[in-house]
Amino acid sequence: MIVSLPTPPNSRLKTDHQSEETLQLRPIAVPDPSPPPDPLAEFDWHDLVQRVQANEPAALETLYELLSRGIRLLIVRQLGRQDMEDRVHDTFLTVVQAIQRGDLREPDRLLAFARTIVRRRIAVYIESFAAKRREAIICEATLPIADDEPTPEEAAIRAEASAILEQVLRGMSRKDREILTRFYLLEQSPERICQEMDLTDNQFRLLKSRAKARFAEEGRRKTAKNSIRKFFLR
Amino acid sequence: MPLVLEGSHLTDEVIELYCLGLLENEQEVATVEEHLLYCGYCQDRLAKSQNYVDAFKDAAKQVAQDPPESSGKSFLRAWPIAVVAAGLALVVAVPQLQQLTRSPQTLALESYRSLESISAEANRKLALKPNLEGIDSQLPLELQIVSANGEKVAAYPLANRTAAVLVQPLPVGRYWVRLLRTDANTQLREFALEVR
Repeated sequence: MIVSLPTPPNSRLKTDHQSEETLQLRPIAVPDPSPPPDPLAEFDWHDLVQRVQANEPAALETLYELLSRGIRLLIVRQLGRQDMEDRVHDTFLTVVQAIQRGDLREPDRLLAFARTIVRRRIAVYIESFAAKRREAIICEATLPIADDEPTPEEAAIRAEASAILEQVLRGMSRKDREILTRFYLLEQSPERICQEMDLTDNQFRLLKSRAKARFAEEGRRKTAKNSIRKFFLR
Repeated sequence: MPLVLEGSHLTDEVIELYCLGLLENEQEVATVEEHLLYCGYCQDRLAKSQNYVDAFKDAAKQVAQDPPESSGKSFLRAWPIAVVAAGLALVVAVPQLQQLTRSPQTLALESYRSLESISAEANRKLALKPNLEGIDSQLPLELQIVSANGEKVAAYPLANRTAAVLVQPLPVGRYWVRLLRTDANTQLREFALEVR
């Protein structure tokens, strides 16, 4: 069966809150006052699956819009950006083929099914990369290296955010700094940190949210300053 | 175990734990990833959280490299205090410096020892011109300044009789300016000087 994929990029299922992949420094700690409703609350999975099985282009497009960004996100987290688009399309194709073969028995479980396929594809990519490394007789420098480097824009934004956080961290007590460093840098579990540093769960959460609030505040201040500067330089 | 979903979306806590790879329960990871497959709102939140975590790691590494408190960087951090202190010092010192760098106050010493004294500005150089009328021009002379209780404060030889004697600034007080004949160690004249 031939599966014709819909035109890929930027044709995803959009919700009110789903922006393009802008990487502007925006407040992190300020919760959205009104999270959008679940876009799939009333979704008819049975209908979509039947139409995909019938290789209906509109259904394939809907499925692509629904899953492509999420598939991309999971792949990039594990494999980096290298060959990202190819991998996303391969994975999507695998999901479609599996549905069309009838591997999905409960249409309501489509997301879990798709996720399992994504995980398997990621495992295959990792295994094939590991095999290449094992079998490589050639110089290591010629082996493909996952592209995890941020783009220049991302690097600039990250540097700015990091500078703000540095300021926030330096303004903290040594103990508070240690708590956050254990969590974010050393990736220790909250339970362990609370136990070893004699903290309650609430104290730990409060400290984290305060740090985020300060970060957001400093970020806003900086953005406002830049806007004023831009205004006067116009 | 953290709350994974709140309403229709992932909780902030679980997004953060997922970012850090700290979700240990496979069922929780599955729930999070299934939701992330389609929910643009939570995908955006995850991206923000990841940016925050990455930036935090950079910042924490940077702060961890700081030398101990007592070294140079803490001094650098104290520079605003240093600037304020320097400013205060300038506020205090500048008038003093101005006093010192001002031209000397010229005073003609005319009055003999009496209640009527000559006034001078404190902390300002003085150019004293004693009245030498009637004194032999060949005599070796000295101008001596003594405090009110008779202690010698300074002494200046009168080499050039026509020029004023330059006297270093004096603190506030009452003084006597004595004109002495050095070869005979005798006092020829005495002037009262009040420094205010």
